[in-house]
Amino acid sequence: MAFAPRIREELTQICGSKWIKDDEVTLYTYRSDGLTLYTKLPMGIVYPANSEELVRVVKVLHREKLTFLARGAGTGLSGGAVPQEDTVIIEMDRLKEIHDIDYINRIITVGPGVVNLRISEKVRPNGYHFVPDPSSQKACTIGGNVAENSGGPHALKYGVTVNHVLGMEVVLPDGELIQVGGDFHNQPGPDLLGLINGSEGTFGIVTKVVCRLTPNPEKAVTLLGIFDSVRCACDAVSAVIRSGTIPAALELIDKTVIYAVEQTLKPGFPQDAEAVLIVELEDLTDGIGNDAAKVEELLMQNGAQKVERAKDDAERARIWRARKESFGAIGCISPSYYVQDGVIPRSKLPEVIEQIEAIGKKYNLTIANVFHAGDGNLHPLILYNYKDADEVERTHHAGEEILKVCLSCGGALSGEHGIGLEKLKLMTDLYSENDLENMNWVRGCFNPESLLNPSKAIPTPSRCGESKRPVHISDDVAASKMVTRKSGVAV
Amino acid sequence: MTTFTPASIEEAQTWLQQRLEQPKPFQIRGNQTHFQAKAIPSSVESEDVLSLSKLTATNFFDPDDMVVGVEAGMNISKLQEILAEKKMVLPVNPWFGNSTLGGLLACNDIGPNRLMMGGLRDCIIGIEYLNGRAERVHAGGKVVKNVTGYDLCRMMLGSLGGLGVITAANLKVIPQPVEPHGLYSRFRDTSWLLGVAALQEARLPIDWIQALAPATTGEPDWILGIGISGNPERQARLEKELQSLFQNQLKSITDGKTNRSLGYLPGTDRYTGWLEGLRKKWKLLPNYLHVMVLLNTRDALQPIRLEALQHSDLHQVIHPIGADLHFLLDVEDPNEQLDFLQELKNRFRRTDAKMVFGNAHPDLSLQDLGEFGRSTAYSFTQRLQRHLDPAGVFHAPFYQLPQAMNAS
Ligand SMILES: Cc1cc2nc3c(=O)[nH]c(=O)nc-3n(C[C@H](O)[C@H](O)[C@H](O)COP(=O)(O)OP(=O)(O)OC[C@H]3O[C@@H](n4cnc5c(N)ncnc54)[C@H](O)[C@@H]3O)c2cc1C
Ligand SMILES: Cc1cc2nc3c(=O)[nH]c(=O)nc-3n(C[C@H](O)[C@H](O)[C@H](O)COP(=O)(O)OP(=O)(O)OC[C@H]3O[C@@H](n4cnc5c(N)ncnc54)[C@H](O)[C@@H]3O)c2cc1C
Repeated sequence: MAFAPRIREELTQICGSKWIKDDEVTLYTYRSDGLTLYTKLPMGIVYPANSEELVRVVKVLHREKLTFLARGAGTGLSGGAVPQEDTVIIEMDRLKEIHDIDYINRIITVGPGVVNLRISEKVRPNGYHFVPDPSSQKACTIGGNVAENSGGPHALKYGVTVNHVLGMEVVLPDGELIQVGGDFHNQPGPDLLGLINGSEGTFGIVTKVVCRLTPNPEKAVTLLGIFDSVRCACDAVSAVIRSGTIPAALELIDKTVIYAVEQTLKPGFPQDAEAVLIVELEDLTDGIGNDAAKVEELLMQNGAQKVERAKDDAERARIWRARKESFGAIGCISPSYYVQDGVIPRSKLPEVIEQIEAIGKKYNLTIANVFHAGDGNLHPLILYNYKDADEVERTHHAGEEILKVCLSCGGALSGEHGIGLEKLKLMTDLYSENDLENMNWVRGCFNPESLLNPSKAIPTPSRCGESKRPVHISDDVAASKMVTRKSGVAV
Repeated sequence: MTTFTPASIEEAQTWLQQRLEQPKPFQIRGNQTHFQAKAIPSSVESEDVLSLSKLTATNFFDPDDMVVGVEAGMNISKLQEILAEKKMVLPVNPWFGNSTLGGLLACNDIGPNRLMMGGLRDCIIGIEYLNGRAERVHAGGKVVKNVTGYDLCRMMLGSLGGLGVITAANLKVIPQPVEPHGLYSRFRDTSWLLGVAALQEARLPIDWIQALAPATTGEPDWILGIGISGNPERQARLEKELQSLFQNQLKSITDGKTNRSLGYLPGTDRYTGWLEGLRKKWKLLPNYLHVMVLLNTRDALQPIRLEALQHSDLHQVIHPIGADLHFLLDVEDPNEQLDFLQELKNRFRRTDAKMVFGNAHPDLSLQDLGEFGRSTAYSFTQRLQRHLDPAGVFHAPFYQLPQAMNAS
């Protein structure tokens, strides 16, 4: 598995020899994304420096009928950046220029390799930020955010990536470069921008993004509701939403996650609580105190033992760090976790959380919960040991059952992580064969030969329902031994 | 020309299936509140029509989850009425209360409060439509956040009747604003634009902003309205800041209450369309010209553009942040309309502005908008249309513009 000499030669002419890699160690590092249950070695990696190089690279790959995909930071949680057999990975890391910033139009134009948090850091001195704030924002890229239509805790009030992107430059799988959208809100004609957002890198490779900038709130009040039952915390979520006050964020953390973050980040959450609810309100300073008092009252009426208000920015930052780094903190209590991303009508939260607990018991697995409660977007973390084949198998079954519960109450398979490879099999439980064929038909206009990121996002036609099994653990162990031998780094 | 008005989605589907057996183009219609633009003059007369106006059922409304699903023929007034019963609102207030949801989605409409609350594109969560193979297909769902499958909801937004027949949609709605108020003031010229520029810089969280001219018949003057809402402290603060930006000239009205002396500001029709009221007030002739210019805020805030367009029969509705500018010329002569259009094109030549007809003399066609009438990625959009309508049954002028056109 490496480039054929002729192709390597041509790609080298475009990007330079330093930027074409297919040695075993590099291939190994690109074998999966954040969802490590699925792995495959790519044919090789190309690192174009700009859109022009990228267009030329794509034209070569298209002519040679090689499959290829764009990769941002590889933090995706649905296998979107995992290669198929002989897939070439186009790494976007060098396309990270910040182009124009225009504060009157409230936009910033960036390369797809720019890390999400970098945008907000850049415009913060002028009082702005980029709203989508996935918990992975210190690492994930704008290109990945657009491809997955990523969300984050503050999606509740302000929306997800699609609501904060006005324009894009896109390279189609045959190398044609198109501009969609622009620097203002509406274009006549179909919303191609919205269609390409969330297409999981299967419609085109994004090479430039015009992002909206949002004024920083004058004041943010962060409340921490402490509950002795997850069900009460879920009821409180519904009560807050029903009240008409839309918080900027409404996040739930259960006791397993509280324990994990207290072992690592020590935000000071009460360890005897069954759940904490983070409620953040953002607005002008004037009157926000009254709105916060109303929310506090609602939390208490719905069974909170106590509601704490963050005293200062340092305390707010501590709470948010614990929330955003909670997936990582799980590492201190389990060798691996499998995160689900089902989304449900928020009024169904209490019953669904109880069913998830029952599924954990049925499969003898611990399932931790930390999620975007205000949007009904669940993130059950199934804790497992990747060296235990039986546990891996049970983990898969539990994950599938959780998603089926979400579907049975009117929900969907993914709120923000995408379908990728991982949930393909369940797509027929939500959509009819017709619906999926129709999606495939639309894809055909962008990506007729399925060369770009094949077998992702929707099942391949007439193979709906087909299950992709993850790699065999033994293969992965053999590969990791090889890398250790060659690189001297234990993996 | 014949019009078929199905009483159910099944009927519409059967009709479309038959139509595909011997493909013949037809136009999809809602309540025809929008100018039925032609791409190429005289191409449209003989088209048959599929009207969705009888498909008006509510599929579900869950106020606790803040989501609603209705059929495409329901008009926006009716939808807002249903939502208002539970103190909810769809934060999109288009021009006409009688426009159908299908028509609004197909045009990707926006209204003045898009500024703070988004347009339809920020509210749509699910869609059902009949595609170019007469299949009844779905995308999205009932939940407010969803990346399961391709976002065909947004693909159908702005599809202008060319990609399929929208039969139903699911929308995310929000609680009605708390105590909405409007602040307004009159100006003799476009000096209000400076205040708006300062407001944009001050980053104040207002709900909507709209300027109208002429405010008084026969006078070249403007009225600027700004919407605010929220608890009393919040509103007091906003009012104070806005007064200082506009030299204490602003007066306050309760938004959502009809005020006879200020009929040109949103009244009881606050959430169901404003142009109907304005049209009556301005007594516009049936074939008046309405051109909507879409452009960025920076370009919209150039005072000279509006000032120089003063014209005795001209009415303007300006949403300066976002932005969309509406020019309504109360003249029915097609040549005069074309002259005015040329004036507009000259004025916006150096911008990336786009233009859309709201109304015009039937002799005018989309082609008259030149490059301004085409979206970015226009030729790809045409390709998509041909791909999804292989039989060529959806007659949609927007997709039929010639390839290379001159902006003049
Ligand atoms: C700890 C952790 C927390 C997370 N929290 C959140 C969260 O709160 N919310 C959330 O939504 N997600 C979250 N994620 C998931 C992930 O971070 C997002 O999906 C992110 O947007 C992926 O960005 P990336 O740059 O890592 O993309 P990658 O993983 O590299 O790629 C993801 C997909 O995007 C495609 N892609 C990448 N770049 C481009 C491009 N330029 N053009 C076209 N396609 C492209 C790839 O082909 C692939 O299909 C989390 C992940 C982790 C590991
Ligand atoms: C590009 C464009 C942008 C516009 N933007 C705005 C705006 O921002 N704000 C505003 O107030 N007004 C806007 N208008 C005017 C607006 O179109 C009408 O006020 C209203 O949306 C039309 O609704 P209707 O039911 O009367 O539809 P009609 O006037 O009957 O039809 C309008 C268009 O929508 C298509 N259509 C109608 N129903 C369906 C359906 N069920 N499925 C598929 N296609 C359908 C038709 O083919 C036609 O192209 C815009 C018009 C256009 C063309």
